[in-house]
Amino acid sequence: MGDVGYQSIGYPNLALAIGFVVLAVVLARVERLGLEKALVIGSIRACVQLMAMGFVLVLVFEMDRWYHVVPVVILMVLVGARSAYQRVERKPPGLQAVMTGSIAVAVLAVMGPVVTVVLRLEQWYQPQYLIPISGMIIGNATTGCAVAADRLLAELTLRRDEVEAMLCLGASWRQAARASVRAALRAGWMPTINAITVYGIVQLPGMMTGQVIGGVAPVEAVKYQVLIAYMLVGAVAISSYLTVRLACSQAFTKAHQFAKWVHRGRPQETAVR
Amino acid sequence: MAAFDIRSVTKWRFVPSGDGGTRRVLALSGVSLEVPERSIMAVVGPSGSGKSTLLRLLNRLEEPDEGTIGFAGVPLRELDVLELRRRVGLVQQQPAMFAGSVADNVAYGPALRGEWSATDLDRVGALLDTVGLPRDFAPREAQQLSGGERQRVAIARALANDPEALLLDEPTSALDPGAARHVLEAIRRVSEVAGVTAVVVSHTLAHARAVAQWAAILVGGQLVEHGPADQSLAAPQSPQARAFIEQAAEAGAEAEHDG
Ligand SMILES: Nc1ncnc2c1ncn2[C@@H]1O[C@H](COP(=O)(O)OP(=O)(O)OP(=O)(O)O)[C@@H](O)[C@H]1O
Ligand SMILES: [Mg+2]
Repeated sequence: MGDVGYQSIGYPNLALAIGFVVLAVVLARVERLGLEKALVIGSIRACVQLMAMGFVLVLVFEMDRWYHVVPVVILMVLVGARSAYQRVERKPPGLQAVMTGSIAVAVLAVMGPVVTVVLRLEQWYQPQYLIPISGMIIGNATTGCAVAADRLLAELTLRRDEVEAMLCLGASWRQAARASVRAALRAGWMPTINAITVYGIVQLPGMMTGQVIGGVAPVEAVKYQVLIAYMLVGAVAISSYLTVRLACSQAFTKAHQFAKWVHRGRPQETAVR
Repeated sequence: MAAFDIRSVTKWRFVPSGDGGTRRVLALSGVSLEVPERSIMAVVGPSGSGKSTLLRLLNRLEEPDEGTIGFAGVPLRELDVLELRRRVGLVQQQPAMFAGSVADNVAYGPALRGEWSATDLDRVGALLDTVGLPRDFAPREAQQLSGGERQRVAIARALANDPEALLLDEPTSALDPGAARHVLEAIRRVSEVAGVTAVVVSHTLAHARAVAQWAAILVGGQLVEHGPADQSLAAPQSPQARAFIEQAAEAGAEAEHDG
């Protein structure tokens, strides 16, 4: 893409941008925000991590065997699921496996048709397409799953009396948990819906910006971005749906009772009397 | 024949301990008790003595750690749990109202099974009559009712399932004396007319005496007394039961002076 005439940045010029960070550090110092250290560490990490990723990408983009590319995607799914898992405050048993499975299914379900039918790549595993697009999908699915699982537990805890009242009247756990599941799914989907809603107005999404800077015709870049917006919606919907369904089934027993772990350690009204 | 046959039931509870961990407490300890069919049994005892826990075991909201419970001659574990909960209603201590109208709440159980719905105002109205609420409550927003009104909607909601047994956790605690009398009257009526077995947890000895033929006294998770209500609540045999009854009687007398 280099021949399309993007402006290359020299390292000394890049170093000038450190000035912005310095400005923020000075402001933080003056206003006593206590953020100087976080700013410095964050800036260094961003630089080091991106450079490292750059080298990895050079290697990855040279891959021309599916059995080299696919493990990279699998690794990305595992890392994404791990970070989703860590963001959940109260974890149902097996949540990490549930999230890994949910995100993997979402990636397959969304990438499969796109690679074979929409993009019609010469080689379906072309890393220049597969890796960045999977990355965006996994990133959004990760957030969706984490938010949804977190919300599910919060709702079930908050609505404990209501859920038990329904169970007492003969409702199955699925029926009794319906309102909580709904709230969890809404919470999980909302960030992605909100994000794509302002695409092109407030936000120029990263990939499109990148392609345009890289010299791709804006119309082509836009088509990619629309494709990706729709893929994100699908991936978030699938992954958080699976995560919520499976996590919810962990919150109840076969006898339509709350599983013990749901309320263990929760401050008890009756206990403190 | 016994409606409920409770044999050597033990239930542990995990409560947060000060240091951030959890501590085991014995909520029920070797409780054996038979609740005769078509009768009303009062369960009394100090706060934390395991009364609510016992009710939660009777409709399988929870499982006992040891011991067995039978309903109408069949072990609970052998019954379909959803069917069991239709046959054995539980009205909780502070019942949660579902979003929607009073009629939606009352018809919740039958609507689940596709029997009848909130639009069947005759059925809803008849159930409101039973618990002493005016029929024009049917369209009101259930979550905006007072504590006493909720309690009665919850009882109507449980009765809508046409249960064989009703477990009531402090059904009169949120009610003024007039409303309490009404609810006790309703419990007695469904017991007599519909042959429903009732297990009523109560803090107020007078209410327990007024409504129950049988009584059980729990202290610290142990069944310390059970038998005919007039004997067990008036002149219990065991020293723990006697101590509790004396205390409760004093507290009751004070409450009457206050109000
Ligand atoms: N959900 C719970 N988790 C942990 N411990 C509990 C829970 N519910 C009750 N306990 C504990 O179990 C014991 C029995 O409680 P239970 O609610 O059955 O008492 P109770 O007789 O109904 O009291 P009250 O008259 O105050 O309603 C108490 O020690 C209580 O602290
Ligand atoms: Mg209680």
